[in-house]
Amino acid sequence: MAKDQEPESFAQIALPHLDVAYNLARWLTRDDHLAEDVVQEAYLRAFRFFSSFRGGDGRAWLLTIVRNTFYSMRKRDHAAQLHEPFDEELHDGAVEAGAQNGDPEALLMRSAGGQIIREAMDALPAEFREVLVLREIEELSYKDIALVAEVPVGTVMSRLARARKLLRRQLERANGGL
Amino acid sequence: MDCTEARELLHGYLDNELDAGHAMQVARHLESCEPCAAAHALDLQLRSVVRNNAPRYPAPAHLRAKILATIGGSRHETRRRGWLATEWLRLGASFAFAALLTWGITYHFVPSQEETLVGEVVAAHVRGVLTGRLTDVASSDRHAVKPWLSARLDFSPPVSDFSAAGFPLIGGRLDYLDGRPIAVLTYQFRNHVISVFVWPDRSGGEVETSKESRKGYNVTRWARAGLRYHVVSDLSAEQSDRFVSLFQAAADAPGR
Repeated sequence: MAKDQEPESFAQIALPHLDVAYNLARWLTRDDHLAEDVVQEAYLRAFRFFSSFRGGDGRAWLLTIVRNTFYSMRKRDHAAQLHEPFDEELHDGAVEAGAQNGDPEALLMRSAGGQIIREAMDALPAEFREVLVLREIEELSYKDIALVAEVPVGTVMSRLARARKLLRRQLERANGGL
Repeated sequence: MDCTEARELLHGYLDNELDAGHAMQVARHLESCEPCAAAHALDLQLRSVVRNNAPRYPAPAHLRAKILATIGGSRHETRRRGWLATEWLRLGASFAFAALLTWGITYHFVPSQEETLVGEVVAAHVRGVLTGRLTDVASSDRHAVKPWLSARLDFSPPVSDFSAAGFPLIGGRLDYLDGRPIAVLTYQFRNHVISVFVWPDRSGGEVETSKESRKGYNVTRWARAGLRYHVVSDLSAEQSDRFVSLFQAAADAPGR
């Protein structure tokens, strides 16, 4: 089976990134089962479209497919669980972070703790959640995030800036309610 | 650099994504501007809070197996083969099959039925060559190959030997394509293998001969007298044409 390079390389390229793929899917769907569905579907697509993989970064390639799979499944099941709650207040975003909340640093420190962070990130719209996950958890470069999110590199920077601002506001709100 | 510029670049600075020149300008600005430095400090802190606390969800252990099963089971055509001794080999063939199948659809999300079929015949050809399983009935005698196939199919493919022209008949086998059992005739040219896929054409119409190339394989297809033909090989286009002409002439001849 010396000629059997294609199956080997698909496995070699796609399977090592299963955890990364699942993590992104889990953050996007905010649900264990939906995340599994997305990853499974994404791998099937990746497998079918393996010929479109032009070498290079298998992780970015696979994450792009995971992300696209999520958005297309969400579109399909729009009425179902994948529905993204739209937070008017969060989108509105006129209030400068921490401006009216006393000491922002102290607030931030109090928010340390997995659950609060998770909930605050889960409350962000998917487009901001995904750049945070890719940057802060997976530590992807802007270039790779741009590939995955299919936006220019400049947009990655501005989206991250916005995401962090929204996240800080979300954490302040969470802590304010404690 | 003023505050507006610095704030724009602050996240690029935080993420180490600025070129050296801009990074230095931002650093200088932060040294001299307290509000910007404070904003940067907050961003740094937020980052460490997120990095230290946001969970990284690991894939559940069963997911890998599930994915392998999904991929392995997604192509039934590869499943029925006894010659694929283990699950891994079966999976490997599936991978190759799907990779082959998708050449033509890189830029088209949904392939046409014809494109899919061409991908499938190429995949079946490559599977045969890779595994060495080219024939169920190995014979250069068309009077052995034809009845063997006819006995197992609901049609009778035209079988001829072209040894005299350099394309000896090697034999025939069954495969499963387009949702039905089909005949595959195998010919040889020097050390190249030629596969001819034959099955009844549902529409029953005649289809002109057309040629295309898929990743180095020539595919020539046509339909005539109620049968569809796909000829796959890695011959040169000239040799492939020569074979197709011989084959078509013989198939059209009375008594086949």
